[in-house]
Amino acid sequence: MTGIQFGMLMFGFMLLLMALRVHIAIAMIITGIIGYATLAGWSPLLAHLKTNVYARYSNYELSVIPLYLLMGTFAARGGLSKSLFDVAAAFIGHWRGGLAMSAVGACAGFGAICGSSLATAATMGRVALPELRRYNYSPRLATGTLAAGGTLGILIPPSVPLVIYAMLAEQNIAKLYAAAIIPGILAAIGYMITIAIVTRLQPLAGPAGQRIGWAQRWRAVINVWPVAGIFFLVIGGIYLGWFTPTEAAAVGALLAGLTAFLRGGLRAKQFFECLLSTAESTAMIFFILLGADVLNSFLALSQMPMELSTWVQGLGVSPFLVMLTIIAVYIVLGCVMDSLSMLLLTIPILLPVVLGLDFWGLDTASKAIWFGVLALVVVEIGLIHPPVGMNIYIINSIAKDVPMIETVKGVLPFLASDAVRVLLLIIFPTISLWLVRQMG
Amino acid sequence: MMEKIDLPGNECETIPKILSHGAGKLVRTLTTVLACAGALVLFAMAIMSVTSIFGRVVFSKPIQGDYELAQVMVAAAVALFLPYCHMRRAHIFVDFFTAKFSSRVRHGLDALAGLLLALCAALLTVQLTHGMFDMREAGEQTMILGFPVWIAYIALVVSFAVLAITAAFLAWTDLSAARRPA
Repeated sequence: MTGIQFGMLMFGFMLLLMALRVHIAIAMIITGIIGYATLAGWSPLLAHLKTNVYARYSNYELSVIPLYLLMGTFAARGGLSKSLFDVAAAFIGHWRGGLAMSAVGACAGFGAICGSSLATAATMGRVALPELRRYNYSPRLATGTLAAGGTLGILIPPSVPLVIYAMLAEQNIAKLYAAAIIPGILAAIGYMITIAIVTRLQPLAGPAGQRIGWAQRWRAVINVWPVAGIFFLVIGGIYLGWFTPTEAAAVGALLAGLTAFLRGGLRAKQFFECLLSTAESTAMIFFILLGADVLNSFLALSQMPMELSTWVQGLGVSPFLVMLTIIAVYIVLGCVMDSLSMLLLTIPILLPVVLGLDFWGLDTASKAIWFGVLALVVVEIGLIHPPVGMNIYIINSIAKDVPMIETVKGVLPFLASDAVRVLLLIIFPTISLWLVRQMG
Repeated sequence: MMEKIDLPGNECETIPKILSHGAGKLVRTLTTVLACAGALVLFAMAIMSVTSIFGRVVFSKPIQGDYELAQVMVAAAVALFLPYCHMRRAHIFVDFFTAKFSSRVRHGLDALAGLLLALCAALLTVQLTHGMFDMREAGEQTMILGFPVWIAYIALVVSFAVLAITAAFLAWTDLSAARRPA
């Protein structure tokens, strides 16, 4: 049996386990264990299991993840999400569909201090949904906007999935963040244009809000300075060479905590709630990381990724056809899986394939960074496309009176905007790479 | 100025009956205590990092070995979070293909999944214990501080042991739910 055949067989077995409600991490571990033991025998496997947990969990690059999560929960506690929405609404709320656009803008702002889509969707959903409903926005547009807007949490740095991609692809996280910024801003603009088009076609879906005077506008601006400050330190501090990403995240987490404390939202009880919520979301991620670690040590042994890469090169088809196929694979996987599991499962296999092909004559490092942004965008689409977009679930659990099907329909125009953006990112790699090249 | 925020997994929850008395309560308390301990370690690590930056910038004197301290602390913290996450049933699984099955069948599958999780965690507990003794015998230390690595392993061994117990307990409750007529 070749590496590809054995790898595929084990992959099928793993997907079967997953379909039968076995935890994703455990399905990966079991598959990894069986595959590793088959190829190398039991004693190397048992020796590997003595040290791999500590090796994986003590990885300095990954220690940034729990700190990002802590920063996000503190920021939400501090009411920063509300301040962001208020400032956006003060400026553009009186446009047609303006409050929905404000929600998108606030999601982008919150995404700049939060590395997770689910947290962004949940937090902004609680803040913005009641406002949108108060101004008689259609439930479909309101919930669709927030489910889509939530994805800006990971598209705009800091971003947990990008940290994971950086680890898998052995790329510099600072460069990946630089590459993600312009596509992230494009995403926010694309969503706003989508809202403008939807409300032009159906003016009743998004009525204009109140016009607000300049005095109040400036007051709203002053309220969001902690967000700007934290983003500047956490992301800017990395480029200025002040901190490592982990240190920057530690600074950001403590500042967000301090802001929440000063604003009166963080006392002992809330502090422990924030800690436990961070504990839970961190454990979700690191359990899957452990599973992927065991699985990938098996995949590396099987030679499957290299063989697959060589096989695809040998096919002689257009690289862009391969890329479209890869994206189709992501869309299908996104129907049943969360974004991190998808990245952890696919990147070790698909990245060698991508690096083995020629795209616009890009060098290897640029290709890896470009593909990272692309992969981030397509796994993010999985958060909002039916049947099991996590963001749809979260928004729907907040807006309990809105039927799920309305939220799904509300998301569709935003998916169209995503599709356009994916095509642009494939055709113009410069969108991602321009800022990286400016860094030198 | 404050709004009420519940992040996912932090909903204003009612504790399931099974976890509010007897063995269930013990599991809930144990996992929560470990998670709180881990979270305090994480928070301490953040403070340590910031103190070190402050020392570096102001006095040109960072905390010695701050990166490796951060690594050890995060490794311990993350492991301590795992049982709590499972107690809250927050570890990710795919619901898509089985959503239409009867609740008894789903509980049965969940019992099986929980059993597999318990077995994997038990295997890792055993191997981590071996690893811990290996590290102690070999005298493995971190590079700068000379911190003995086996001490960090204690947190890992405890975490995976508690994870195995939690998973076995929840699998047992799922099994009883599956056997109860709907």
